[in-house]
Amino acid sequence: MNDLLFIGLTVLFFALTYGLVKVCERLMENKP
Amino acid sequence: MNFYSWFQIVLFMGILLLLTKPLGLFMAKVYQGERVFLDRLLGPVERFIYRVSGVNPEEEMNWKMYAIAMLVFNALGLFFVYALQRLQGILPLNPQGFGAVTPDSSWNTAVSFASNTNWQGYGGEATMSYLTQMLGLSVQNFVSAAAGMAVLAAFIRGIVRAPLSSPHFQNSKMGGQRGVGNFWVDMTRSTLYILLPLSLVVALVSVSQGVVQTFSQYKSVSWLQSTANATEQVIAVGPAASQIAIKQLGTNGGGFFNVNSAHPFENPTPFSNLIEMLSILIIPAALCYTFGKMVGDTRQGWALLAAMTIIFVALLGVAVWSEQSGNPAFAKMGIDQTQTNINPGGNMEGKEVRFGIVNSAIWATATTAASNGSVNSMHDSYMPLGGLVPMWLMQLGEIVYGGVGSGLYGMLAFVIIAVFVSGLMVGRTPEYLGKKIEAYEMKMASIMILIPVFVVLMGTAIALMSEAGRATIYNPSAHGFSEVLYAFSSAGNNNGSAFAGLGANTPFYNTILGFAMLIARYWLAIPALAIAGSLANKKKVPAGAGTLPTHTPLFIAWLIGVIIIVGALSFLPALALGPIVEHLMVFK
Repeated sequence: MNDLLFIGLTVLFFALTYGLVKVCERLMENKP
Repeated sequence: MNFYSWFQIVLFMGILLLLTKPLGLFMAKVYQGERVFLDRLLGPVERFIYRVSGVNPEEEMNWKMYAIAMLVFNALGLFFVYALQRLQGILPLNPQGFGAVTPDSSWNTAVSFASNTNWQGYGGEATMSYLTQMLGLSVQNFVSAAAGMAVLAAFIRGIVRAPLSSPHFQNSKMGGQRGVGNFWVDMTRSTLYILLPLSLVVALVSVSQGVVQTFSQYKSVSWLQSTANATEQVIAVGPAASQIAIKQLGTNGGGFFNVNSAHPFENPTPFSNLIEMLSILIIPAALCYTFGKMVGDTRQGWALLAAMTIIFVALLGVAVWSEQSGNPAFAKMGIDQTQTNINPGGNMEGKEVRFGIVNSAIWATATTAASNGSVNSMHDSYMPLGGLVPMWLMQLGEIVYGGVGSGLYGMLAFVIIAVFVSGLMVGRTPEYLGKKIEAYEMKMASIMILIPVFVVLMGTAIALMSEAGRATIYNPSAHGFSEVLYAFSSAGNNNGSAFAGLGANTPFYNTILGFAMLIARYWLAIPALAIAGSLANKKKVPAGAGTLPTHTPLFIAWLIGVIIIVGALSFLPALALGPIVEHLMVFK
């Protein structure tokens, strides 16, 4: 159970990090 | 301080600066794909790796492709190290029969080693099998360091390159953007040509000094004089030398043994100590020259190295002075703290007699200036101002030499801020090395500087406000606060060293510090790559009469000022509650 929790937290973090990549990309294209 | 104290500092700094140019030149050739003397030996290995892994070394990546490759690679490494710890009880090379590491500690350690932090909530010799140490931790020492160096190489290419006008060169997969290199090639070349050869040399020198390298079981030895409770002692051994070499060179810092490089099997002699201290700073320092070489103006690299060195030497001076001045509590107890040729004097609590004050202080300063985190003395036992030095060096963002790769791209974020502010002062669009610095670069640089500040201060506040956070603070008052602030400064800047006295191997600290390490590593690397991508697609502007020279003493002083102001404004209130008030209490 705990293993799943930590695996899930890691996946969540990297999903958020991908979101940061998209935000940086949109800012570069000058989109709000 | 006597002659020997000064001599040790001058010797260390002299060798470090002498090695900067040759190693920096070599690394520039590696990242520019030029021939190096190791080509004949390692070229076939490199080509074999590309063939087996299906990598086309000629293929360029734009910044986003580069970032995603880095994230995927690091996430897979993290999961692998986690699984290895959870399954080590049923895996080979486990002569002590260690069971599975707990989920929270496994996750914290996996995050820690993947993010080049190497914070250790566990004791290596009492927790990890040889397989976990070698296949999990040592491998991550190499690849996490190589990932930082790869991001720096991409950043530099972003500055150097300009958009290609011919559509023939524009790869459709990259959306017409100029590439910043190939992540897999940079990773492979960093590991194969730089980290592995240097590690081999340092490991062999370490073994010659007495660092252990064996697969044998731990040794039981009889005591010369037995006590009522015990007649023998178990002495931990293992494949330590190979891990220690890369832990220093890759600015990782995770010790094979719990007391890290204070352990005589990790760092037995003053000579091994000198080699390990040089190994901590040599690659980050040399990367400054690599930067100058790659941008076509070595003065730019020397300027950054000068700014780093001035901050480093000034803070080293504070640390040595603070520790050499001694502890008034010891004076009251009648302990002689006078320095002589046979007595190091000063505050020797938590320090090894074979290293003394100066070599302990150089190490503490170097390990926190770089994002290394290994220790040869216990920072918790330093005088308050001596302890403030490593803490503040981390809080500056690990940019004074810094982690391999990450230190220099962090410093370049400060350069962007410095150039932008000076541009505002004279009313010109700021430029750096022929590239206009505009709002986008400023936003990304601001993210890079503000995220660690936010993580450190918010993490410390959450820990102090929560029952779980306060439960394992074992020292009262300002020192207890310093221990928590140090822990988050370390994790939130990917250092990994610790003030002891804080029980950090709990689900609360393992989880919250794990997140601090993840954010500090990847949420800085992404904006760094975004800056690279943005700059790579900007045309070069020829230098004019109004261009701010960025290699002069004036700019070096300005850059140091920006770093100190940001560092001071961000952390002075927190430091006032910890080491500063503790200093006033000790010397009242």
